Amino acid sequence: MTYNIIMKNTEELTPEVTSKLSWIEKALFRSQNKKWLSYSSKIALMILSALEERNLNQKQLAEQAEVTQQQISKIIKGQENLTLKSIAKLSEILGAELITFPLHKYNSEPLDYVFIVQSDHSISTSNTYFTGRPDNVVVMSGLISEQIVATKIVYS
Amino acid sequence: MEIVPIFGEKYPKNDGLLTIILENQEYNEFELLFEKWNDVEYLTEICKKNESTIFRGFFKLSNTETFILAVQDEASELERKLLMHVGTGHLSDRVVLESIFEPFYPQQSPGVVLQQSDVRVNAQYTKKPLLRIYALKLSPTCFLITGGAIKLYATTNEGVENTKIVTHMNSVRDHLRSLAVTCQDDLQYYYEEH
Repeated sequence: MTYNIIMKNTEELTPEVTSKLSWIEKALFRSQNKKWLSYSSKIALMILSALEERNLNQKQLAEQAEVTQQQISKIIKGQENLTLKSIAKLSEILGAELITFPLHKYNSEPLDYVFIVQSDHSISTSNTYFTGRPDNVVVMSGLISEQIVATKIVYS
Repeated sequence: MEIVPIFGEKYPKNDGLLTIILENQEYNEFELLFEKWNDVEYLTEICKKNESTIFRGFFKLSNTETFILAVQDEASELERKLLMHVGTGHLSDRVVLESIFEPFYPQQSPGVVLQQSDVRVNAQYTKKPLLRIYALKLSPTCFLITGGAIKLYATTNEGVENTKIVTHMNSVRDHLRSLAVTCQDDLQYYYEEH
């Protein structure tokens, strides 16, 4: 049996089926499905955190979601391929968004300011120039090349 | 306690990676590791119990999510490393399997019977590996996995969990000796009798 043959055989596997597989098959399943399994882990962690904050247990969540406790247990292990419908339902019950979506060109608001970091570490904008590095300005965004693009500024 | 092969029925059961399954257990000791290392609920509990060690100790991880993702990534890399030995057909290569296991006591001579060994991710992957898989060496091509651990401390002597794992490895070693399994050749007699 070669690596490629095993890969082919595990393409259609679901988490339910993997419980009956050998370690090799499970390892290949995890390797091939790494991306969504990592999403599942993050959602599981969000649920655990929300349960703790709301002082709820898994049994209560199962009852409210009208699913078995075993299903909730699987979800919380971070190995369940959840549907959007399930995620939405759990989000509503827990009162917490379990997934969020990043900004993109069709939903972004125009930028308020563009700051440019000068070589002497002073900061300028297209309209204003600060001499020296102003300690009372906190830029809430990441560095893009030589520019910091900011949508929010907090004055201390 | 029963000796079982890890690579499945298509591989010789007296070569490659073996492990043990304890009585009334669903998983063998090797599979149990990966079940745990991929279980978010289990890892969250570990994090709660060892907060000060994880966030301020040797590893200084920033939060629970970072810890969980680090464990899962490393487990995946360990699986990849072990799978390479199946996929490339090198299982029968006498050098390969021995080359990924290191002696647990580096000063020991390679000829020690049932030498305690461990495997971790390569140094290129991370300089501070969190995970260890422990094994007893039956031959350069045959190792028996006894368990593993999330290593939260700089040295093996620290931490209750690490001590437990070493004690367990040694008790499996004693048990194998009592079954007269001290090298790869002994496995044939073991399987005939069990």
